[in-house]
Amino acid sequence: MAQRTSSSDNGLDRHYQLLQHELPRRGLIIATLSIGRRERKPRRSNGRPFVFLAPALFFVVVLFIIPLGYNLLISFFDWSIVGGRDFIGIENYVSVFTSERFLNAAGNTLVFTALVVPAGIFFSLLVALGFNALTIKRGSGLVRAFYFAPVVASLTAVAFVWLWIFNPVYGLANGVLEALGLPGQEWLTSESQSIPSLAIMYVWARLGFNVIILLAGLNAIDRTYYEAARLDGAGPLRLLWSITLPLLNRQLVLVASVEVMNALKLFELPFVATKGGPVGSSRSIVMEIYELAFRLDRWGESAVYVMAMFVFLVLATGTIRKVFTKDISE
Amino acid sequence: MTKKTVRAAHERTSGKDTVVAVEVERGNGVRRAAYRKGRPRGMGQLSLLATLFAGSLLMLVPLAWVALSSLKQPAEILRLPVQWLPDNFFNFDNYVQLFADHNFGRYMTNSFIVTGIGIGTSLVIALLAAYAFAYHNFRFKEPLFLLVLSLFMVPQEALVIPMYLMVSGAGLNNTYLGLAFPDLFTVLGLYLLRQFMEGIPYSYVEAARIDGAGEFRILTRIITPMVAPAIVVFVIIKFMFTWNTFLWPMLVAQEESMYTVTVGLVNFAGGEFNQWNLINAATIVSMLPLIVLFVTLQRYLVKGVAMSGMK
Repeated sequence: MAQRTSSSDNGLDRHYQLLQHELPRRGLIIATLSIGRRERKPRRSNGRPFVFLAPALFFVVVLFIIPLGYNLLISFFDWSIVGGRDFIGIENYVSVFTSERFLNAAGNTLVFTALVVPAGIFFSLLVALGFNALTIKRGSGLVRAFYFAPVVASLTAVAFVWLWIFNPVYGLANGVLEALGLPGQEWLTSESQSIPSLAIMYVWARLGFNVIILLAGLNAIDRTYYEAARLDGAGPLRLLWSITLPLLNRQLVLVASVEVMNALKLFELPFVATKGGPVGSSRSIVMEIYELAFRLDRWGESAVYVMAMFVFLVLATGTIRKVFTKDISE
Repeated sequence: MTKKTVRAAHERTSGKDTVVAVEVERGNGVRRAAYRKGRPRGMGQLSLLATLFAGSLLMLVPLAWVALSSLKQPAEILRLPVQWLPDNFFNFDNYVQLFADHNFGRYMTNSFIVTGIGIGTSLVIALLAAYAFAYHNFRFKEPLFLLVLSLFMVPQEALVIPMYLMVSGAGLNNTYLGLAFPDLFTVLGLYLLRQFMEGIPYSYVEAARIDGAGEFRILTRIITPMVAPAIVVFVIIKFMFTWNTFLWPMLVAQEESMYTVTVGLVNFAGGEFNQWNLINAATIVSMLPLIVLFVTLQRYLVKGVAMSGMK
């Protein structure tokens, strides 16, 4: 308990504890050796660490800092590979933010995000709570593996898997519906159903990932809290609401922000499964970034889409962290 | 064995305090065992397992459906009403065709090379930097680390425009280096390895320094073997992420001979429209190394996901 409350607030130390659990299991006796030694501070630097840091810093600059700045620069230019590059100020921003194309793509992406994030959290929490309450050991590992299996599939593969399942004529989805006496659906080939269909694919693909994170959080909750609350007469729902969810807060916030981040960069699923259609009903922001730059040679506008995506990203994850993070250290 | 210990502790004192003490000593396994003790394994548990199992089948059905479909003949796959099982479970014609008549062998090779480059460089760079962060003090150390960690948040998709201009400007289109470019360094590796190294006592490094070992030697001979578990986890996770990338290789691999397996899959399916037996087989092929990884090293994969959280 004390361990948990004293941990740093960067939200990542949970992983550190997992790592420490792994150490003794690997037959290393580090944990015992380290007692009383952890206080020692490494000696002052004499400049040598920068030799070790240099490659990483080089790539931080080349892979992140320069591209970020470069992108900002491009967004102020009428930039094309075939034609020229003219500085046009904020003209790209004005034209993009007032365009039907942008509003459609941003709307689609946000609707998709609004569908998959709550659904993803709900289902993964349900499954994780189920496994956490399960005391039967035999076979549970295999069942858990089944939930996790889709995680290893690339989104490209996921798109093909479901493209075939959602095939209106030969697909499994309509096969099952018809066997149940229900009317077949148009799925990805319908304007109104394309985004929900993509959301189903996505939730399926990501579920196992979130279950693992939530399960790790549930495992770390001290059982004595439950014992104490039960002695006080708390029922199962009360336990869930007053103990489990608050103590799982960090993992829930983590899952929510990771899901938002991933949902906002939706690309492979519509690119493969719908090509943005029908009639643009499933075009996403990243799809437009690709189209504008690589098909239409309008790099400046494409860079503006990137900036918009960043704004969404920062706003969404910031809001989630601000609104949903509860400090429960007592 | 653990259970016996707890029960003994219970019986001796029949108080909560002792159990807590055992927990601290023995960790998670005992904690759960102690919790479990009072609860009967009744019908509730069995129906819970049954429900979870039913849900897991639902998760597995899409993959199974594609795998079964990949074994069907072209005429068989278009049979109505939809038929579950293939006529012949050992019909691997579709797979043979992918490698014999199409270039999937080449795509796989390309993916392995690109993934290998990405894993190799990012691992070496992360080891070096993690060592500096874990065993040296220097000015702005923690702010610098936080800055690097914050790059976790930047999605690769958001940087493709400038990065493509950089890579193609450097003439790296259609090269393995160009394909691996965004994967040459991963924040995740640095983070994982630093956390792991912090768990190793400083006295090891200190003793080696007193014995006159150089810093580089300490890293390669002492620290690296000790962080082997973290390295395994990182390599597996990195393999999965790099193998599955699509947007970047699609941009950089313009010649068919340089396609990675994800790009090859999409391109192939575009050309073979409605040949669903082949597309299904190609989907399975693209996942093959990861399926093998999943079956053999699932424990590490799960651990890596739990630790990475991000991405």
